[in-house]
Amino acid sequence: MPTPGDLQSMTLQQLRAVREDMMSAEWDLSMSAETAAVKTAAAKKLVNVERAILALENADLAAIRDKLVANEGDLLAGTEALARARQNLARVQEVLEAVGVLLSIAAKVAKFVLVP
Amino acid sequence: MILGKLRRSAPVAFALLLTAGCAAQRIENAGRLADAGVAFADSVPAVIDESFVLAVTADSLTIAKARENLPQADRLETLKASDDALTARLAILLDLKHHAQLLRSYFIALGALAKTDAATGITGSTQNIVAKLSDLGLKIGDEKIGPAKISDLIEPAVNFAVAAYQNIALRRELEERGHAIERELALQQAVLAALTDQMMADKALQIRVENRNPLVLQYAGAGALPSDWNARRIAAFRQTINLQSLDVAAKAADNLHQSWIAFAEDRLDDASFLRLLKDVDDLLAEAEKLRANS
Repeated sequence: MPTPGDLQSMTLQQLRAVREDMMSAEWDLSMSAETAAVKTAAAKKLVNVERAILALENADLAAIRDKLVANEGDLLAGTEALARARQNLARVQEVLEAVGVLLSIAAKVAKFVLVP
Repeated sequence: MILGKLRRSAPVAFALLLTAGCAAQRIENAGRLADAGVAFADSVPAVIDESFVLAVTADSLTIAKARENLPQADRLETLKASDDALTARLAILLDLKHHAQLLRSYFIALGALAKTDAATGITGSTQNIVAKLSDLGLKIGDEKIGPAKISDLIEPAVNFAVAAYQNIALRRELEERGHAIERELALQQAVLAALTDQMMADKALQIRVENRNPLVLQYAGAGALPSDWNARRIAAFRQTINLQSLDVAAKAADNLHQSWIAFAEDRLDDASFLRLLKDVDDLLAEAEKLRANS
């Protein structure tokens, strides 16, 4: 049993196929002997087909867009968490460098104290 | 006694080495996956832009054709309705491009953690501390653990510790947001599949109108066929075959999605990576072509 999404997809495929047929040279040749009224009606149908295609494509993309937007919170949280984890490693190095500086000072002080 | 201690600690040491090997593989995989993710996210905007160009082109061709037989009173309303729909499309596509940037930032952060050179800096700082302590009379560096001097163990110990930390951070990220990222990549796949279908249909329409229709009308009409009729016919067929290249984005998205799942389940192997890299490379090449033609 096709889902609503499947039906929408099948409808869109069919509309695109109809559009391509109505835009073909073969269609033009078959319409060439028709009356102006028939040609006008066909032109209006073509416009309606194109509007339906744009509407369905927009609806499809908007639905996916909305789900992506709903996911943005997690995406941003993940980016921050990974960046924090990386920064923690950088802080370890900063702390160790500070300890190194402290020890340098301690060594100098010790020499100063030891010098008679 | 020392030998006994070493023998008792051997299984633990082996387990640590094994864990270290698995951790290193996961970290390397994270780095490679991050690179592929960034390249993918970088290519998406060019595909989105091209999809819009093709949508406008197909719409222009269609309403221009309809205009030939539309009453003049209907023409402005027809153009306005198309413009409104395409304006709405542009807004959606801009949102999709913005979101691709967020995905790119995620993969950059993943890569930065996986490929950090913090171990080098921490090793240097630690060695510096040991040297400074030696200046103060505490010759820790010369002390030994087993046969090895502490000063020789600093670098491997720091590398192990940093890798263990990276692994824990990656594990935590997968536990907390592995599913959300998998959902994200599945949605990216859906976006690109939808855009690919649209682009293929719009490009096929363009080829039909600009390339095939003149051939058909010339053949069906009176008079001799032009001398280049066959060459133009071949070109029209070739363009139809080239439509298949438009699906590189959808293929790359699918592969990235599957690779993420494999990474989260610790079964991402070199063969899978090669396939992912190939698909992403194909996408990058296509995106470059699109940018060059825009």
